[in-house]
Amino acid sequence: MKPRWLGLLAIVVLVMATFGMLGLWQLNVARDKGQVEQIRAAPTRPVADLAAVLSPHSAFPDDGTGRRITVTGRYDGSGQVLVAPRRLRGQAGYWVVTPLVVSPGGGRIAVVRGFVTDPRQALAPGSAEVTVTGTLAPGESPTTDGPRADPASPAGQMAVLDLSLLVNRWPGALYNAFVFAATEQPDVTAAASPVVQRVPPPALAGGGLAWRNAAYAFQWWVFALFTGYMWWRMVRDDHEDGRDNLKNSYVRSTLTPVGETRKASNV
Amino acid sequence: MSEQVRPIRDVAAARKALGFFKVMAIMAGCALVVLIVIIVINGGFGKGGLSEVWSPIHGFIYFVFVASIANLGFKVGWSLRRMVLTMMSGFVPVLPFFIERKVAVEVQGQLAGQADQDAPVALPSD
Repeated sequence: MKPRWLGLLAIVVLVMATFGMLGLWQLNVARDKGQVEQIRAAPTRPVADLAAVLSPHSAFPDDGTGRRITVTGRYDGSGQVLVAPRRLRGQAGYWVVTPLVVSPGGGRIAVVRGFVTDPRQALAPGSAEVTVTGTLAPGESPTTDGPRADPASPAGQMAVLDLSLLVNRWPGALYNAFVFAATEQPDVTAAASPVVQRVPPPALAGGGLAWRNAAYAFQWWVFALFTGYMWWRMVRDDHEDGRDNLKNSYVRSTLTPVGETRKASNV
Repeated sequence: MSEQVRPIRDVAAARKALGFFKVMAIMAGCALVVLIVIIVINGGFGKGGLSEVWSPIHGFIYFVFVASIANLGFKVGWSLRRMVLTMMSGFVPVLPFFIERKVAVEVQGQLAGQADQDAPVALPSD
């Protein structure tokens, strides 16, 4: 083994490691896209009962985002908060978020009942039993955006729908999710304040075919293996050349025809 | 780039490797042109559509092209530098077509030259 082959091996290993990592990256992209596909497909799945998807205090399911669910309970108007600033159809305003005490069970789930442009329009609904149908979403990421991050601020406002803050504000067990209400039976929100507009669940943009990235991942690995093969082949050829040269010099000294050595070296 | 090379060990195998390389060079060249046409029609990179389907296929064709270069290069005694440069020609639109011509002429000359060389050397043995 000549030193230059070892040097080349170092480069080959580096290239293989790089290609291997690029393959892993594409595999992760493929996985992420697969997840996005799943989430995009979620709204087309049949409406499920909340209890079948999620229970209080348990982790938000991977395939939960965008699932349409139905849940029955009574609103607790005293726990209502506003999330601002939010926009709907070009207008700045507030999300009206009210805890729904789920029956049976008694756990609370945050329901985005709608959108208002003025906090005074967000009148709390009555406590009659109501069946909410809507779209499930995981809690929003916490923010450190000043006093509004605190639901205990005078106006009862939050910058984001942060469930870790609501769990302290609302009594009892909390669901690790919130619901974009689409309809209520009976429509207690419209009864309390007709100007409240429903908030459509956010549309998921982007996405693409995951198998394409999986194919890219596979191709990177094939190229990595091929690099290793190239190295091995070069070392082997060099080794055989060395043997040929030895043989040829021996052959010439004993005056054996060259044609025969050629045949012999055709392995 | 055309540094002198060691003699071809197996002329028949080298000839076959050259044929394989020629086919793959044309295919890789066409695959890249098709990919670019698709991307232009779609109006840019990452716009999805047909390029989503074609890019992995192009990738596969390119890999076989790379394999055909190594297969030929080892048989006709190319340097690593030459092989890598030829492989990279597959990234440049239309270039594989010119490379295919250049390599074909050169290797055919090499094969013919070697056939001439082999004959007189073998003669004195009789």
